[in-house]
Amino acid sequence: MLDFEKKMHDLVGRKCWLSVVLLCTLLWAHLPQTQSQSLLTDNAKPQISVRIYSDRVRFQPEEDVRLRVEIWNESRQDLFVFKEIDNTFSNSLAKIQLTLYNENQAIVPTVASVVDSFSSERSTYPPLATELPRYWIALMPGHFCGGEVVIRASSFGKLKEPGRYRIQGMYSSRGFLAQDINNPLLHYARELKQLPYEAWVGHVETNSLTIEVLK
Amino acid sequence: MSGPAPSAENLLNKMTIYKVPSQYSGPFQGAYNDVAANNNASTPTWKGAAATSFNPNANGTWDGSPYGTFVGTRFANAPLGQQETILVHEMAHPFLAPDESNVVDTSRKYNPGAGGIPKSCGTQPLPPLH
Repeated sequence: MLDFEKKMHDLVGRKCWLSVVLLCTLLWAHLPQTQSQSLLTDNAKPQISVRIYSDRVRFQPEEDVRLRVEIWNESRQDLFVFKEIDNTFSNSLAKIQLTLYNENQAIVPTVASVVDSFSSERSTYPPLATELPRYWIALMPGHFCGGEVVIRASSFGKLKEPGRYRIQGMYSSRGFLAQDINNPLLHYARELKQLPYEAWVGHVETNSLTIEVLK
Repeated sequence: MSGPAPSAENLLNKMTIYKVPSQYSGPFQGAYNDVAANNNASTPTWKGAAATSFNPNANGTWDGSPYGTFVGTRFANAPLGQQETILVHEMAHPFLAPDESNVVDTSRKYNPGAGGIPKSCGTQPLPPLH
């Protein structure tokens, strides 16, 4: 009896051990995945979406098209976005480039512009607390900031011609740490890196909308 | 046309320099407005000391037609050597379009500081902004 009990105990013991080993193996296999997913969730690059709207669908020939632009914080953390939304200068720290499409043919503006402030080096540097809000705004998760962008008929000759046009934009930002001669906050890079959240960097396509230029 | 000298000459020949503020009405209004806004701003946010507008090809490169450079009070108050630095920098925009990173990067040769354009062209470096 005792012998039987000892054998059973050994067997159960082995089974338990086996179960523990199996459990550990499963956990071990699962754990890195869980950890990496968690890291991705916590440290993922902040995401935004940019949406464009128009109050009207129909426009007269050569009429400017006014669009409402909204930049949404789609991430789980606060982030900074550039305050100037209607920036179309191609060397801006953040900009929105709008393209018209006529039957899938892209129509780009007839004029490209760049602007230089030469502001990365200054004779005096005010505290970051006064400088940062001049250029960047913090967005909480699920919040947006918005503004108006005008597609000027003078820059898009096609807006003289009747027809249906699709409008889509590409919003991009190089952030407040950009190594740029026109970045007024470049001097503050060390302090900016210590902020609890960062500026959004990247590029993202907007939704598209269709307008009609009347005859 | 090839090589650096003809390219520079072409860029010079196609450039029109507009002082801001002045009366301007034309296709490059956006650039004018940005420099004008900076000149008039009571609290400057360092927008436009100089702006350049040009006509692009479909791929964003300069199409070679005449282009406009708008300069404001910072240019007007600068000595000749610094004005040259600003203009060379502005010429680089259409020349290298649409690759802006080469033109505005602080470590590249087109920056207006001592290690950039002044080093290559013998012009004066832009001092820190007041």
